[in-house]
Parts: sequence; structure tokens; C-alpha cells
Amino acid sequence: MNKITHSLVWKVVAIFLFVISTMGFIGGLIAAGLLYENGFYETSAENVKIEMFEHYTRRNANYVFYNYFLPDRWLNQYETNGQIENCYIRSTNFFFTLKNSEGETILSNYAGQEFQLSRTYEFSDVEYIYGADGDVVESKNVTYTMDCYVKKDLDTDDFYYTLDQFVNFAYKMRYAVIVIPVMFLIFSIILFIYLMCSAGRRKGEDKIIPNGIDKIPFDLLVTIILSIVLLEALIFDQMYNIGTVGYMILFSSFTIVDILLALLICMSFATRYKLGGWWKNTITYRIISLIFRILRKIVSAIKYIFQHMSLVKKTILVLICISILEFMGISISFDNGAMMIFLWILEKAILCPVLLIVSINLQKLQQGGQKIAVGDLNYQIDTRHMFWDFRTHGENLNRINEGMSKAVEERLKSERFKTELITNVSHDIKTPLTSIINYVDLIKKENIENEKIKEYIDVLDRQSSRLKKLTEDLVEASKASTGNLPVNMVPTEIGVLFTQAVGEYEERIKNAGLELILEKADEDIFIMADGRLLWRIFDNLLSNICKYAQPSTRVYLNLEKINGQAVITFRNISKYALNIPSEELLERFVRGDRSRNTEGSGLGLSIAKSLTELQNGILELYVDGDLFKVVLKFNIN
Amino acid sequence: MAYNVLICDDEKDIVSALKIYLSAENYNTYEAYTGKEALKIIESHDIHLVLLDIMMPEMDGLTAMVKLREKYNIPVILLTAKSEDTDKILGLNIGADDYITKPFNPVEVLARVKSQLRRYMQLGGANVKPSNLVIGSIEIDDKAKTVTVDGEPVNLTPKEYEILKLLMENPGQVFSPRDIYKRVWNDNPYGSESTVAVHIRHLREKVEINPAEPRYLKVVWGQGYKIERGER
Repeated sequence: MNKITHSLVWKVVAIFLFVISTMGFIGGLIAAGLLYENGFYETSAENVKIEMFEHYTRRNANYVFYNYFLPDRWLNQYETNGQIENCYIRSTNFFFTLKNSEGETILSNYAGQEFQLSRTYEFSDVEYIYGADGDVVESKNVTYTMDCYVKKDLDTDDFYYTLDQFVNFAYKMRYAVIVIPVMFLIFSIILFIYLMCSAGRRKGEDKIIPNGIDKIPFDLLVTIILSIVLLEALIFDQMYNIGTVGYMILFSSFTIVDILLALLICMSFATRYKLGGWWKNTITYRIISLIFRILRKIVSAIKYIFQHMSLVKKTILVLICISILEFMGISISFDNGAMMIFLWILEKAILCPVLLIVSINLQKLQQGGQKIAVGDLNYQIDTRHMFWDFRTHGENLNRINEGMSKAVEERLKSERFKTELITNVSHDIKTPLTSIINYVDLIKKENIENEKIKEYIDVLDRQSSRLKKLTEDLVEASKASTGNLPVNMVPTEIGVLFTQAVGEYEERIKNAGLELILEKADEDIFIMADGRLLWRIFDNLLSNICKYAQPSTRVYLNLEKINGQAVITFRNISKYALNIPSEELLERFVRGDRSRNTEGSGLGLSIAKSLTELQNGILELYVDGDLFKVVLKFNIN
Repeated sequence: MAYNVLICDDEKDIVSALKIYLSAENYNTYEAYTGKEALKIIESHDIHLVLLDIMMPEMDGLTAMVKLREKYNIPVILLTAKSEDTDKILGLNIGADDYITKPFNPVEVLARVKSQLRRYMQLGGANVKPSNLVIGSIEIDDKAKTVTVDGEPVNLTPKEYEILKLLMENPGQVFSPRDIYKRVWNDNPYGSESTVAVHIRHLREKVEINPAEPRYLKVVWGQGYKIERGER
């Protein structure tokens, strides 16, 4: 099927066959109709024959009288007999005897042959009697009778013979005449289905491909074809004088054309249907969709205007529209509308101000709600000129706002309080600590013989300085993590910072037995950062390295430009096994050595991370065995 | 001549400790535990320097200093546990000469006291050679190629001297390590800017009392170095 539907040759053949088959169907239908008309299905063949012979005999009689007898009489001024030899019917199955009113035979070709049908017809004529001067003196009605016979044995090949043969044949075929068009119809339907299936198919193509006609808007196509059919009907109407054969030819050819046109529409429709949305390629659809589009634009424009209009303006607009409509309605519905209009104006005069006041109140509430929604917690709705429920509602909104701003304040307060608490506590610690440090120092200056005491004092000295560092770090960590720190972002060159870091740490790194290796790009890399905070990050990381890096290893400090980011990497080999997850290392008070017997507060990394984030950077930590890696990422300015 | 130093702190132990240190350096010490007491002592004695704690009962250090400044021009060093920059700036703006945060290192306190007294007693309006470059307590004699801090000579290497001179000739201006290398070494650094950074650190250690919190030779992180005119 697929192969056949895709073949052009098959398609053409099918169209050809379809036309023929359909013509056969129509022809058969007409034939059956004619047979029915002539009573083939109701009476016997003889009866049909008699009826038809009768019909034809009447025609022959008419012909003989009007076309033969009368003109001849006018020309030859009445001669009796003698002319019969020249009579047009020489060899025929039709015989007649024309008699005048006196019963005299005037014209005849009947010689007493056997007949199967005889009919007598009357004809009347007007006879004029002329005077001597040639004027009509008198006119009188003359009646003629004609006896007509149809020969019993139709031995002459004339119309009777043909008719007889035809009726005999047609009578035999009268049921076949019904079956044949039905068969033609079935064949046509099959061909039609095939053609519908093959519509839009092409050889070697899987898709439906529309041809030129399929691209014409469907309703336009239908209109064109209907006008062609209409034109045909007009032509047909004009062509009454072309004779039966011409008529038949014209009818047949028009029928063929119509079948082809109908097929064209159907196939085109089938193609469009298969493509989907056949209605889209119609002028009607285009016009309707255009109208819809315009309407939608108008609606959205109105919507836009409405959305960007204040509530009061909206109300006024709606009131005006309603008023105009009402006014029009009143003017039309009431004849003596003066009173009505007066009452109507009165009603409007009361209603409109009320509605306006309501809408003004609503607008105030709306604005207040909007302010609250966007977080303006200090906004208070002006409820002075409000009334009834609006006032209550406005006051409620104000109260909500107050409650919310209170809650926010509370939260800010508690944050501030936390930082303040830490700061204050560490200040309070610092004073006694100062004494401790000072007195330890004083003791050290005394002449102490006891070695043990000297040792203890060293411990005190070390631990008090550790306490000092811890309190300082604590304050810093709390400030950095809450963002309670002024950040002054300026373009900062990281290369310079590298240089400065090396300058500051050169000695300490050397003392820790480490080798610092700098790797940085030749170009200057500027980031937006606060140099002081950035240095604190470097300071923390480098001092960590000095404390925790395995002696006689290398420390790498890298600066790269990756995807528009400045990436700073600190890499070192840890002195202690880092069996702590990197996430945990970033937490406060966690240190690489669990025993906590070295200097440091455990806040360094946490502070560095907070400070990095304060400057919109990212601090990442990687632990790979003993390799400890910190990556700082900042967006390049 | 022994100088009279007033120590004012509400924490008696701190006062005693400071007293021990200062007495060891031959200063006469006076003790006060509130701002009011401090003012009284200043009025009745010839005090040359005040070490003043900020947070004290009755009258805090800042109020006391404002009152003190109405009559006296003596150097005041603030002692406090507060380490915020804003506090520091506030203290210096209302008339303090220096600022030490607790917990302090006694050696640093002594150095600062010495420095302030020397400037106040010896250099105050004293004859400074016109050819000399002076920033705060740092003085460069370009003819003799010597540098003194608070009148005490400091030993600098030729490069350190050049760097200090460059910075002091352009106070407030930030020089990147590259700039400094080019001007002092007269060469392109080619990656040896860190030499400058090391020199600067050494210089700071020699010139500043507390190199971690320099008064004059400041690091502008990510940009370079500069000399500031000093706090007061």
C-alpha cells in the first residue's frame, strides 16, 4: 500500500479509472432512471413497447400531417392521391390513412398489411374560401382523421425496429442496469479511498509534501472551484440548441471536469488534513485570527493601562463608563425621560462621591500593604481620614508593621548583643591578663636560682601570651563572622600583596625550616578588596603554615587567573596527620593537632574564611593526605 | 633630671607593675586610680607625662584628658583594652599623644614613654637643622647620612637609608615595591620586589617601637608602602 500510494503513475491511473468509473456510475444511474421512468420495472416488455410505440406513432402522425400533408396542400392546392409515391415514408413499419371529414381518403400508404398497433388521431385545420378578387370570403373549420398502424412484423430497419430491439434488450438488462452503477460506485469508492491515502505522498519521501494547490487557502480554492461549476451551469443553460449529441458531449465533458475538480478538492483536503491544522491555511481563519490578535492586543493594552493606574483613577474610569452606558440606556428606553434623567443624576451625585471615598481609602490600604510587602517597616498608613472598617484595617496593618519592625530590631539587637558580649568579656579578660603578663615579666627579671621555678615561669609566660592571642582572635572572629567590621573595598594588586607577604614572613618561614616558592603571573591582577583584611587572611594562613608545616619542606604560594577569577593557592605539607575533614577544619576552635599543645587559638582558618566572604571571595580547603591546600577565589576587577 | 610620670589606672596591680618598670628606669612615679585623682595630682605636681587608662570609675580617661588638655600640654599615653581603630582615632583626636592597647608588653610601654618624653622635653621647638628631613620623631640628616629616632641614632644600611629617605621626601605617598626598587636600586626588579619588602620590614623594626603597629612607616596592603606624618 505504501509503495502504491507513493507512486505517481498509479495515482494518474487511479484518477483516470476513477473518472471513468464515476461516469459509468452516473450513466448507469441515468439509464436506470430512464428505465424506471418508462415503467420497465412495473409492467411487461409488451406494455412498455406499446406505450413507446404509441408515443412514437403519435409523433409520426404529427409529422405526416404538419410537415408533409399541410405544406404540400398549401403548395399544390390540393391534389388527391398520386403523390403518395413520393411520400417520405417509403420503407417503414408505419402506415397511415388520412381521411377528411366526409370520410374520403386523402392520403395513405396503408395497403391492408397486418398490424400490431392501430391508433386514430384527429387533426383540425382552417380552410379559406377565396372570392374572385382573391380576398378571403369565408373560413371554415375542417376536421381530418388519421388511422395509424404499426406493422406486425417489424421487417423494416427503422426506428420502430430499433425501439423494439432496444426495449427487448433493456428489459432483459433492467436489473443489470441497477447492479452496474452500484459496482461502479463501489469501485469508485475504493479508488477514492486509495487516492485519499496517496494524497500528499511522494516517491522516496516519508513526510507529507503539499503541492502548489495545497498552498492555496482552502476556502479560496473551494470558492474558485464552485465558480467554475457555476460557470459550467451557465454555459449549459445557454447551449439549448446544440442537439442531443452535442448536449450529451457537453454534459459528459462537464461531468468529467466536475469529477476532477471534486477529486482535486478532496485530495487537497486530505493532504491538508494529514499535515494537520488544515483550517489554518484558510482566509477565514487568517481573518479571524487577525481579528483575535487585534482584540488580544487591545485587551492587553487595556489591562496594562489598568494595572498601572491607581485605584482611584480606575474607579473614576469605570464610573464614567457605567454612567455613559446607563445614560444611553435611559435615553433610549424612556420617551419622557426628563424626570428619569433627573433622578438618575441625583443617584449618581450621591453614589459617585461615596464610591470615590471608598476607593481612596482602599488605595491607601493598598499602598500600605505594598510598602509592608517590600519591607518598609517604618511606613505607617495615614488613618486620619479613614472611616469604618477601613480605619480598623489600616490600624491593623500599622500594628502588623510595628510588630514586624520590633521583631527585626530584636534580632539585630541580639546579633549586636552577641558581638558586644564577646567584645566586652574579652576586654574584661584583658585587664587581669595585663597584670599577669607584667608580673611574669617582673618575676623573670628577679634573680631566681631555682631552675624549676624558672621553668614554671617560662610556662606562665608562654601560656599568658597564648591567652592574649586567644582573646584577640575571639573578638576578631566574632566581628568577622557577623560582618561587624568596616570593609573598605579598593582595587588591590595581589602581586604586590604577595611581595609584601614574602617581606613580612621571610624570616619566620626560614626559622620554621621552610622554603617559600612564589608562582605568579607576569601581569598585574587587580581585585576589589580591603587590603588590610586581605592581609589578615594572608597573615593567618601564613602563620598557620609556619606553625603546622613540616620543617624542610616547600611551601607554594600560587596566583593564577582562571575564568575571570583570581585564584590564590597556599600549599604545604602538614606536620601532623590531618585526620580531620576539611569542613571541620574551618570550624571555630578546631586545630590540626588534637592535643592543642601548640600556640594558636584554632580560630585562624575560621577568621580567614569569614574575612574572605566579607570581601565577596570564596575560601576552599583541600586535604589530600598530608598535603594541605587553601584556595582563595576573588572576582577580578 | 628625673621625670615625673603619672600612672592612672583603676587596676592597682597594673599601676604597681608599671611603677616598678618606670622606677627601674629612674622615673619618679605618681599613682592615681580615677580620672579625678589624676587631675588633682597634675594640678599639684609638676608632671611630665601621663599614662591614662580609659575605662575608670568616677571619671573616665577620655573626660579626664579633655579637662587636662584645657590647661596642660604634657604628653598623654592612653592605655586601654579597647583595640578598635575608631577608639584609637577618637583618643588621638581629643589630644592623646600615643596609644597602647592592653595587654601590653612592658618593654613597649617603656619605649613609648621614653620616646614621648624625649620629644616633649628635648626636641619640643628645639633647633632642627633646616636641611634635615623630619617626620614625627624620625629625623634624617642628609649631609651626615644619619638617622635619629626620638634623638637616638639608628643604624641603617645604605639601601634602608635610601628607602627611608625616598619615603620621607614624599610623605603620605604610596610607593609600590617596584617603584621603590627602580628608584633605589636604579634597576628593573625582574621579580626581586620581595627584596624591597624585606628591607622595609627591617627598616620598620629599627625605626618603630612596635613594628607590628607602626606609627610612621605604614604598609598599604596590596599597594605599597608610605610614611605618614605621624599621629600628632
